[in-house]
Amino acid sequence: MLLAGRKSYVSEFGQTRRDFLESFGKFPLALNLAVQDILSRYRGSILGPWWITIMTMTLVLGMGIGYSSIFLQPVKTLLPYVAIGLVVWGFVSASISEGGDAFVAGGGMIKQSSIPLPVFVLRTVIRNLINLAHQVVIIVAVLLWFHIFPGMGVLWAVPGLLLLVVNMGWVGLLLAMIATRFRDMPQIVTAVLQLVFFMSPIFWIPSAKWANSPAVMANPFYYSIQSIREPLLHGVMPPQTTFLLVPLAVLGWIVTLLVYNETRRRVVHYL
Amino acid sequence: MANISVRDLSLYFPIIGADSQSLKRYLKQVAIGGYLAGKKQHRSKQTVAALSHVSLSLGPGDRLGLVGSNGSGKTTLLRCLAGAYAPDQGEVEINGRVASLLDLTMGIDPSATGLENIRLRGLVAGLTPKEIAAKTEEIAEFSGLGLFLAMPMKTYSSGMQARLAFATATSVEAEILLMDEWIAVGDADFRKQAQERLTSLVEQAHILVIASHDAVLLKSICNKVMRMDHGQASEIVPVDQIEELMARPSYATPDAPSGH
Repeated sequence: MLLAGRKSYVSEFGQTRRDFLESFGKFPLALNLAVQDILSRYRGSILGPWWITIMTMTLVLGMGIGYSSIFLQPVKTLLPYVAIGLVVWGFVSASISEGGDAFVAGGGMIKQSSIPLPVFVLRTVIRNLINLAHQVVIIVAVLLWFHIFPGMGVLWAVPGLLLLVVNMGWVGLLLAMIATRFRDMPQIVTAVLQLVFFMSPIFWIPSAKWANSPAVMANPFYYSIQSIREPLLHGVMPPQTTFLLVPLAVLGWIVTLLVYNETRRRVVHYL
Repeated sequence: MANISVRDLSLYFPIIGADSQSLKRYLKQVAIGGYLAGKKQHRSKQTVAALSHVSLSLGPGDRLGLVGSNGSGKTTLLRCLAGAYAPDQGEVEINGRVASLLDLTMGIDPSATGLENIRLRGLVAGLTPKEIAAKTEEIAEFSGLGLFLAMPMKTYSSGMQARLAFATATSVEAEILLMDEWIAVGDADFRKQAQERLTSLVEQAHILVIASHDAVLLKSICNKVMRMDHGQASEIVPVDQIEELMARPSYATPDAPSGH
């Protein structure tokens, strides 16, 4: 192990690369920490993480049935749309809001050991994926109930989910770095997420009038949800989704890696 | 061959949310702690030079004791050797498996059971799941906790918690051992076993670096000592000169390097 002072911008990238490679090598650690997080959060509770599923279920039923008269949409159309929208949104909002906490939560280990920083973001991502897996039953139940099966096209949801995980990875890492330095960040993020939830077509179907508005056209949250929802409901991957989400993932990771390269040494001092 | 090579290591801590010119002047005069550096800089860029220009070289058989007042940089140096802090200047080169006994409870989750914590602590210490599985039985036996290992750790008394943390943390065979003060845990009975275990761990390690204020202890386990003072390191001297080293007046030069 050789730790050296920062020599140049380029040589620092070698360190960054090593951090990431080591982090993937420490997958068992990230997995165990993630499982332990869930176990401790729900220890003593009988249903455990299934409580999130029940909460989401009630929201899905409330919005899917209740709003069908407000939005003038049949329940058969709105409820499956809302179900997938809310489940995916649950993953997105948890990844974003908990992402900021990744380094603070792992502070004890970061300050004492050589465990590379991305491990703690990996832990958050795995934890939220496990929670998401518990919610998939809602989607399956709703699709079965309404006899929705658009054919093998549903498999497009898999690359859609992978793309979402890749995007949530950089968002989580970027926010973790910012939130460790600026402790007001979690509150700001919570407020922004609230706004995004109501402004994005997550539980409402954009009408023709809305289809070209920025809330739809320039909304990465909407596209992230659509890249999973459209395959499941209609068996197709909307092309504009990939055209926007792939460049977003590439650009996001480039920016995040540049920021990481700058702050990787400083995070420990901010804790 | 295990070795540690530290060359001209400097480390600056940024001070966040605490800046006052008068306070800074006051702090420059106090007897303990690192030097405040970085005058006339942007307020958020003020730094403490926690370590400045530290060099040392250790090889197999070296048992180094670190002495110095509170805030002189002993723990910071140990954390640098553990790989937690990246140097701002200079290099730290470490060859060999490092076991850090700086914080026994690192990675331990009070709401998890004893067995789960053995696994967690092992992973945090860098063991593979396979290695942990092979050691679990031995750790469980040494801790003497028996059936309690299936209970959440928060139901343990603090002594029982310390036993498990100690048993797990000391199960790692390492070439380089880092300690912040000698560890003493448990009741009279366990304490004796723990001392034996720790002593054998120290003996099998190629290199030991321990920070302590206890000259008698250092004399019994170390063969070399180094004194830290305001983040600066003395030369390494044989352990029999420890009294002379500790009695020296503060040698740190007040012209601290400008901050980063």
